Amino acid sequence: MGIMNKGWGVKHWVFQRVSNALIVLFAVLLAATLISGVSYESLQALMSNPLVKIYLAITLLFVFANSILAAWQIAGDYAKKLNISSNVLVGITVIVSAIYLIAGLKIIF
Amino acid sequence: MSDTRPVNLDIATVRLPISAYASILHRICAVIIWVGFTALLVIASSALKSEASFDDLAVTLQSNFLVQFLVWGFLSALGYYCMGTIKHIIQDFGHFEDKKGGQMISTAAIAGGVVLCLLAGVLVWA
Repeated sequence: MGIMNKGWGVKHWVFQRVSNALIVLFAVLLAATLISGVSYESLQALMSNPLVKIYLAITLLFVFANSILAAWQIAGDYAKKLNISSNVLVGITVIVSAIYLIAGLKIIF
Repeated sequence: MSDTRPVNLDIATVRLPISAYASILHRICAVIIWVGFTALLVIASSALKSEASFDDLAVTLQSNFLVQFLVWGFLSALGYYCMGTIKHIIQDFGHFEDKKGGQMISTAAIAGGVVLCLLAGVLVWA
């Protein structure tokens, strides 16, 4: 994969921080929603808002890409010790994360 | 000339500084969140499917310990993940990067994570 080559480190770092900040934002919004209490009606109303849908879809896309980047980093650190191919670990993550992405988008839209 | 420097330290045999625990915990929490994402999707899907399935979910969340534990674990991992992220971003801007500062911010992040963990427990069980 080209984007995993040398010279992409700074882009990875920036992307990772942006993704992580989006995850923090999501966590805060999730906590606020749960603490304020949800009913079936309030949840339906929230999820029918197109801005909420777009926000969640963007967050989900970042989380998807971030999970693959993180898997690549983590697999690179532990694959040798665990005697597993790093590509297999990343491959599994790509497949599972893609299922998450599709399932998540299906729930949102 | 003999080189007596230790090489290839086995990380499992040395006592690690708190900053190392703060760092590895961030990774562990990331993995928990990633695995727990399945639960988040299932919960979100049943909460939105119909009013009946929302009510079923509400009953499950109030009575099923295993589901409560999963939700608590997910929220706790997310809590520390956020602490670790904030720590990272603060350090990226050049603060708390020396040995002492690193220990301080790592302790603060872990302490914050413990507090969020307890608060998640209150949210789930209270």
